Amino acid sequence: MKAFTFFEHTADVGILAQGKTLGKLFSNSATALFDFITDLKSVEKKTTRTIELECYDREELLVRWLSELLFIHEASHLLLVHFDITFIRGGRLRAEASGEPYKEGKHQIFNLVKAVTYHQIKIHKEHGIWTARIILDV
Amino acid sequence: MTENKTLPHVEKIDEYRYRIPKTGNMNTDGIIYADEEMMNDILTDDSIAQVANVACLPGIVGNSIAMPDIHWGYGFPIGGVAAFDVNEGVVSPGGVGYDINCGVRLLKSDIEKGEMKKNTGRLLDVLFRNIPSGVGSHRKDLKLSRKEFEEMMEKGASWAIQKGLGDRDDLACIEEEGKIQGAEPDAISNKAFERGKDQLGTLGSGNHFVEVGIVSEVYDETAACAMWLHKDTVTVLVHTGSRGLGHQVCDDSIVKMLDASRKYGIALPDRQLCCAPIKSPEGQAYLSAMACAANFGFTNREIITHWVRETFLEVFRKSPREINMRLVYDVAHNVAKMETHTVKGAQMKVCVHRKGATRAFPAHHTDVPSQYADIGQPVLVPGDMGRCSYVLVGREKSLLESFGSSCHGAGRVMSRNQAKKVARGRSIYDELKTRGILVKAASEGTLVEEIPDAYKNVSHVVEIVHGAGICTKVAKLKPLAVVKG
Repeated sequence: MKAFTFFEHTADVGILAQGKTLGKLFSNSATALFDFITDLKSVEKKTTRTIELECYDREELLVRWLSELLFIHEASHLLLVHFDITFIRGGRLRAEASGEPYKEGKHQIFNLVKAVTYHQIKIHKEHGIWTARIILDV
Repeated sequence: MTENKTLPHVEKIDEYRYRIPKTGNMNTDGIIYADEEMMNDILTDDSIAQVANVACLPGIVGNSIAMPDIHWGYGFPIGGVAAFDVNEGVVSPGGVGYDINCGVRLLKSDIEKGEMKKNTGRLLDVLFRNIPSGVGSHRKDLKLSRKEFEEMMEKGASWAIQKGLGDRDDLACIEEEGKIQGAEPDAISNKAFERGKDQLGTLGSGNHFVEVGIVSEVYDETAACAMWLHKDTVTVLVHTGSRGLGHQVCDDSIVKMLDASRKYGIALPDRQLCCAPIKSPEGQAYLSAMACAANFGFTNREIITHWVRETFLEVFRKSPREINMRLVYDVAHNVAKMETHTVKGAQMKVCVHRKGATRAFPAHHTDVPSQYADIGQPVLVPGDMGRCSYVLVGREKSLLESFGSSCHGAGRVMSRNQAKKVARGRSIYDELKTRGILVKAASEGTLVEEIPDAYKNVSHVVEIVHGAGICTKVAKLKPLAVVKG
């Protein structure tokens, strides 16, 4: 099982994420998002943010989760590298995201992401593996 | 309701138009502006299904329309136009997109080709220095307090002029005079403010650019003259939008609209099409927030224009007045607007969504600036950085067929990854240089993703809207120097 891969979309980019648990699926999706943005090997865990979200269902929760991380990244210039989902059930989530502020010379930004879209958002479980497809607007 | 999985049936109407006949949950037909060759390209992705999905939304009037630069978007296709009855219809943030009031403006000058050629390299360097582009960059001399930011969102482009960052004469030549009515700063979340506060006066990345070019061909002498466009003189195109503010406004609004769609019992073929009745509190809140972001977009382009003029002064030692550096026009291509249109013979107030489509009002329309009253509204269609761009004018037929709308650009045909593969081993910088085009990009990655091959040929797109009669060609612009985000 691959934690994540990227798939093609004419103007944008899609993430195909997998995980043995729903929590792992959410953390792997987040890792994919930041892997698209920067070189994760260059990012250290220096600061941690706690995130709590409540939504209608898990599909919307996944988009909100990634959108929240994107907001933190852009508004606080943070690069996030480690994600710990401490609670997830139905449309509710509590998680910790760790990383460090962007530093010129140390970090490289590969891509700017405008948004995480709800387009064709899908989560399903097959043979004990959770899978999600998410399309980013870049 | 589930998303259309198989591509809907498409039938040819004439040389430049195709129809998706109303079936299933569709409330109306879909119309695609394309010729046979273009249609074959369009059918390679799912964008046709997206045109059909939009036709399913409540209160749509006329057709669900797609311009020839259509490509697969998320929810609504890029290159889509859809109008909704103000009383019975909906407004959808996904019908505008994340980059609210992404748009393009054109400046003209009296600088001639010869003088330009001697200075292209230096001009490009100074433009690149003066206009922040790429990730996280912004000018240290432009910082706004929350109060100033709110004032800017309410006033639009005239705010920049008040602050000495624009020219009063520009206002008449900006769509809506640079201010969409109804902007309510209270409709903006703290998150949207946080994301947008450092981004005014920045180009961003991706397909955004400042492009110095030359008028290489004139097709309509009268219209070109009215726009002060003369062969072999220098022009500047500025393409950017509302940056992080718009992205967050759209994101915040979609969260609310998902709940609203459930509350009002609106069946969605795709969640990204979530919407609310125009007159509902949710619909009105979105329109107020959207207007704030749209006004940021107009202000952003006005401020960048100011720095373009300063750059020309520095390089050519001539003031903007001396070289008559006027704004020809500024159009929004991601926006929802309240407009009055004739539908089935009756005047009707509708909310026109244009996502990757440009307003294209004809001559004598009340919203066309007086200097263009006899020719029609200028329509700006930028191409990729290696080919050309076009200036068109709106025609009467656009009001009859497409809610006064036309195409907005070339439209992508390759994904970013495909573009990277195609560009592997090539020096895009050198290739463009051989074609007489100098490029400076904030990141090498952007340059590669934005290679000319990744786009449809804009000339083909323009031939279709010209042939269909919704717009006609005025002039062609050739790029000389491009700053990419």
